[in-house]
Amino acid sequence: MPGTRLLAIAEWLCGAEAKRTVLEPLVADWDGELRAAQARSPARRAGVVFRGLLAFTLTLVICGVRHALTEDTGMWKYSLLALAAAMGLGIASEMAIVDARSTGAGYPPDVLLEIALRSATVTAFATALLPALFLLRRDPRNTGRTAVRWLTAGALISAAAIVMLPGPNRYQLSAEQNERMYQRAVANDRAGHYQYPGSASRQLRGPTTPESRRASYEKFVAWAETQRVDGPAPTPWQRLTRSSTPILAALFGIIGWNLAGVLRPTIMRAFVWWGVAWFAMLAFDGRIASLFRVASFRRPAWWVLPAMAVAAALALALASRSIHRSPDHEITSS
Amino acid sequence: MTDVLPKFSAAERLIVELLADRGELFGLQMVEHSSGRLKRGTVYVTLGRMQEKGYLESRQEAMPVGAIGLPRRLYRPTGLAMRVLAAWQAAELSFAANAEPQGV
Repeated sequence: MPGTRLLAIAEWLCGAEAKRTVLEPLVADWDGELRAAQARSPARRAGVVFRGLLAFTLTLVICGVRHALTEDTGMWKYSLLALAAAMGLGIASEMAIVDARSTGAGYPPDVLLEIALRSATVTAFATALLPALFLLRRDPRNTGRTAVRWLTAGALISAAAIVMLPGPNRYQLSAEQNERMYQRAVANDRAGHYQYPGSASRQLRGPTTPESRRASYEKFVAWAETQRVDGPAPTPWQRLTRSSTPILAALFGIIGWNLAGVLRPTIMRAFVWWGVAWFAMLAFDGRIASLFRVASFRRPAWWVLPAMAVAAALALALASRSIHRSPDHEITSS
Repeated sequence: MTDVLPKFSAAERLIVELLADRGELFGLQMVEHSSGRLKRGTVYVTLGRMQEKGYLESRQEAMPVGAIGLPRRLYRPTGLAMRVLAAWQAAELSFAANAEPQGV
């Protein structure tokens, strides 16, 4: 029967009821449309296939999320909370790092947040899967199948975020943000909080108008773009193919799940292990080194962190299996 | 029987109005007749939800003997949906009639 495989995926993700009442009517209409388009040109038929697939995918996502939120899957609420909290902590720590690195530039909080969101949302999400999957295993109703769903969703969301969010390395303040930072610096000058070289250059150049500052800033941004050695901004697809974050997201999730097979999954432990993972991400990215002005830091090759994560995930999986196979296994460590 | 008038989302109301005007329709036909207001990626979720709420009934179309493929699903509004639609239309008319122009 046409669409059988698609409907099997739908049932797995959304449940039998949604498959019957939502996905089957969609596939049946799509099938009918395809049959009606048989006599049309190949381009028209391709259009029917594409539109149907798009509708099916979107409906699948909506049903899948709805099913995940309404199905009684035990402790997933704690996992979602842990995911959100770990993401919040990750982005907050990134704000602190950006602030510390800015050496007196005095970013306003909203600019700090914007920079941190751009540079850390994807990695914070990937790392937050560790505590989420760790806590997911607290409830025995959550099986390996539940974990696979979470890991798949995590990797897909990471990939979607990389494609949809703007690239983190191309961030420039807007002219309005730049003006606000200028005004903030002038207020600091007046209050005697001088900064070098900002205060000196402001006093030497004398007052300028907002319009001239804007023109000067836009000229600077255009010049800075011409000085880039890494070529034009990568396309979303290039960003995706160059990124290992979706793989890391799945690996961190696997580590979290298997860690809960070795250690009793408490909230405290979830966040301690998240801290370890987040620190590793920051260290490998060079952010920790940048805090200490380590100019000689060389970022390791992209595959080093995923390779280490694979090794950790495998080791934990084996340890978890051997513990669960032993006849008197009971996780009692506190 | 509840005293509170059940809520209709914009999409739900549009679907009931379409079905009231045109009789039984498939999901894809509703999208085609809605002038872009219903989207193909979300209409089936809305139809499923409306069935759960008791606003719609559905049946599978009769397939010719020997035909392969899934039979399409035809939807029609229930009495509840028609009463809710009539109540909302009456409420809107009443509101419009009682609304006074605001002078300066």
